[in-house]
Amino acid sequence: MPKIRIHTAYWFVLPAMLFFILLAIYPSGYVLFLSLFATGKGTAFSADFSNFSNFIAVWNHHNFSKILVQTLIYAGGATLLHAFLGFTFALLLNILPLNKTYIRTMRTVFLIPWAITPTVVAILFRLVLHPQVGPIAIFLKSIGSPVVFAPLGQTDSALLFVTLTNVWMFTPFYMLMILSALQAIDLGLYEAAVVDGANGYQQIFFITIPSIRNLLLTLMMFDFVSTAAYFDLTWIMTQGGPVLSSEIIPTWVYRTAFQSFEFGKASAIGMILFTISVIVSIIVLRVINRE
Amino acid sequence: MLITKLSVWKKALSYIGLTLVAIIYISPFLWMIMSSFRPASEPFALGIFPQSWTIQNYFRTLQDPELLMSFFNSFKVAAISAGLALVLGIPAGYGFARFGFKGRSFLMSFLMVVPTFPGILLAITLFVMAVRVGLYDTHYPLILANTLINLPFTIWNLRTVFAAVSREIEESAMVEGCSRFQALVKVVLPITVPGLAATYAFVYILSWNEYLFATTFISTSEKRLITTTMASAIGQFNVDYAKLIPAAILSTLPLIILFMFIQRYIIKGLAMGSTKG
Repeated sequence: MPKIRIHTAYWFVLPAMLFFILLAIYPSGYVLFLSLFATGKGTAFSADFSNFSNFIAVWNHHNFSKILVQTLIYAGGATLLHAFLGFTFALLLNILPLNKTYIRTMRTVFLIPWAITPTVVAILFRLVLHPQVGPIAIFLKSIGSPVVFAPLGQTDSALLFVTLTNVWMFTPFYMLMILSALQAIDLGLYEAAVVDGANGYQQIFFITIPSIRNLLLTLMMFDFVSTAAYFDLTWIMTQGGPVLSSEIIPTWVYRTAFQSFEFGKASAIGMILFTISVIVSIIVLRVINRE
Repeated sequence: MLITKLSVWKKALSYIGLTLVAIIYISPFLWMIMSSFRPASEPFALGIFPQSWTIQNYFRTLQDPELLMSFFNSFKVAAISAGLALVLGIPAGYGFARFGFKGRSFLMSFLMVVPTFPGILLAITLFVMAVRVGLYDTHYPLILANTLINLPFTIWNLRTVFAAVSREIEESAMVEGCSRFQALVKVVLPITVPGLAATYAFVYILSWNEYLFATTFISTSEKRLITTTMASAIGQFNVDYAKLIPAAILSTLPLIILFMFIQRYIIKGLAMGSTKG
């Protein structure tokens, strides 16, 4: 009997796994192939081993370190702010002894930015930060301020404002996840701490944070990895500009693949990003599993 | 931290403070909704809020053939992608929920790792594959890509949905002569309709929201989805705000409302897969 059960299980899981093999495993192997073999432009490339020429070209590219640093600032900054703000919102909604329906309503309201179509978020903040039609620029003009407010059009602020837009949009996701974890913490732990004379901050640092530590680390790991690869927002808001000041690896890959049609080189850039993602994931999973 | 009691003043202050923070937080979106009622002839420079209000913009938007086509294309791609994800995800989710088998934990961690593969790399290979087999500039690669990136979440979420069903229900059906598969279809699926519908709706939303593949695989403007149509509209030199803003609201508001209804059914799957949407 147990043998038959094993067979049944595989039949259930098989269709999805075949789909993954066909459309995920094969393509990831194919990208590796492209990065190592394909040179030149277009989809009809010669398939000779290129002696890592794509990787060498990317490594020696005069903007490589600039774009890499910008990607790390964008993904790292957004991840830290998501975690901090998401935790703060979740904590406020969890500890204040307010009306239950009110708390539920607030939780729903805070979720809205995350539920908006990302393309619409990008358009929304292009409008809000717009130097002519944007409400901030109009307000500044109405009080007679001489400041020219065009944050997405200036090289020193474009990356910052794309990052802040990302923070606005994804913080609600952290709030949702952390809030449900906070609600699962055993209240007896706090009662015991109060008996031992712990104050509010001590309770947060010694009970709340350790209880959600693994969830928070996992969230931040996935967040860092997916933000570093997140294309939509940056592309629609600034296309990586002005003058590459908000360019990140995914927009660079897109430009290389779909504007210059250098698929081998684009794959090489993407493989570097993927390698960084894997290293970060391994480090974080090690930290989590050390417990 | 436990706060069991607050003085009336502190309580009032908490209510006011929290409400203010929430309103400020979503104010950009509220501003956009209000701006959608601004008459096309009224310049934005006149004020932060519209001086007069009209719903004319919405009629104009809904009469624009290009926008309507994009809405329909998005609907088609999202509905089929979500359906396909469910067709593949139901048996897999059930398999993970009900059976212990060799390789189970490996496959489950594999599902967690899939979303860390950069979408832009997937776009490159699927683009090259689509060009080679002649499917470039059709909706097929788009549907397959959407199904693929949302399948891990679908399986994770359906696994929790099925795991909540008592085993006895299927076992009694199997005693009466049903096969495992018949028991799933006839007994389990009917009682998990809310969880299935919520999963479908969430994948529908994510596919509707998708932009990268939509911009990569489609070039003809009649085949564009609403996300790519709007993104290219905002990039134009002369943006028709009186059409773009209502289109943006129409494309997202119904899904936000839908999302609010389904979120409690998907939160467990989200916590496990850590999909961000």
